[in-house]
Amino acid sequence: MPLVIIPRSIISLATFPGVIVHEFAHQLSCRLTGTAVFEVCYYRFGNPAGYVRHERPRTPLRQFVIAMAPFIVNSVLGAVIAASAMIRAFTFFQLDALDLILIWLGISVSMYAFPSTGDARALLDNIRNNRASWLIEALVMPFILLIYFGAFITMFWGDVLYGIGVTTGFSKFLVDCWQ
Amino acid sequence: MSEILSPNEPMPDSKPVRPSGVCRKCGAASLSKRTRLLLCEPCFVRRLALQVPPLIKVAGAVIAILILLSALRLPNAIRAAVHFRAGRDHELRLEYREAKEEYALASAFLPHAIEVRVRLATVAYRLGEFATARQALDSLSGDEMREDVAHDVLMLSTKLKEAADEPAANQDK
Repeated sequence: MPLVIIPRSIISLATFPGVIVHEFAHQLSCRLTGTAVFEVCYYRFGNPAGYVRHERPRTPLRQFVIAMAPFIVNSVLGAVIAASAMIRAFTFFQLDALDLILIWLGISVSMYAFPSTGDARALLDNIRNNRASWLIEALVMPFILLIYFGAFITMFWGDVLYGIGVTTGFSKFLVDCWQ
Repeated sequence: MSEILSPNEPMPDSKPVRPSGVCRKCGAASLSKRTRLLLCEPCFVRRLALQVPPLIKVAGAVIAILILLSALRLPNAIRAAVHFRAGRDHELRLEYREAKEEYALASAFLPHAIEVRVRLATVAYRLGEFATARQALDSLSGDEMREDVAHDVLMLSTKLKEAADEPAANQDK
């Protein structure tokens, strides 16, 4: 399938702002949860394209915030960046150079909203090490499964489709609300 | 990806061997109680600070400028889209006067939108307001447009020309 054989490193090179925002979201959430950060790689030509090395957060909730931060930050930021351009594209079928840049940036940022399997492993690891209650495990487990599902659909361009969906959906939502 | 560093794992930028019970970064004897890692309070606080390299700050500034530009364009894009949709709804119900008003409002918010000006010209023609239709069509000259839109414009232009010629033909008779 031609969709699968494009190397991830090429895709991440074409959409590098998303990687930077993803790692920055991890770093920012570490700062907010009082978790020490040791190393941040915002972008590199390889796999993974970026990473944040930090100490083990003291509670599973803090680990959850760190793992899920890119989902919120990338989705919101991507949707906001592309909103005006998407409205012009889908309502008036008209785009200028700035619109194209905004759409590229918006989709690039929002497509990296999915936490990686590394984030899921860190979350799982934290729950086990902190001997979290069954209730916390039950609450967090669906998110871990969702992260793995996200990683799976990424192999079939699920991340790109998510990026397009978030940016177009948000612009449509704005126009619908205004009406 | 976020990766956890365990207390025993060597830190990426620490010196390799230090006796346990002292800070692994600077060798200070008192360890911070806020972390499980072997770090003194000042070293731990340094690790909490949001250290961002200059290149990433520049990228952040560029993204912030683009967000600002998008935000500045957003209100007009939304208003134009809302009026354009309302205009299409009126046009489908054959309410051309209301449709014309909505398209005129949409055109005011987004003056360069080709689709809006074409619809405005069309409903103005249907209302018999040839001058308005001609004005809207004239404003399109030099704009690049899709083939189907260009076809509509050409058709409308021909009809307007015929309508303009008709009184002259009647006078000749």
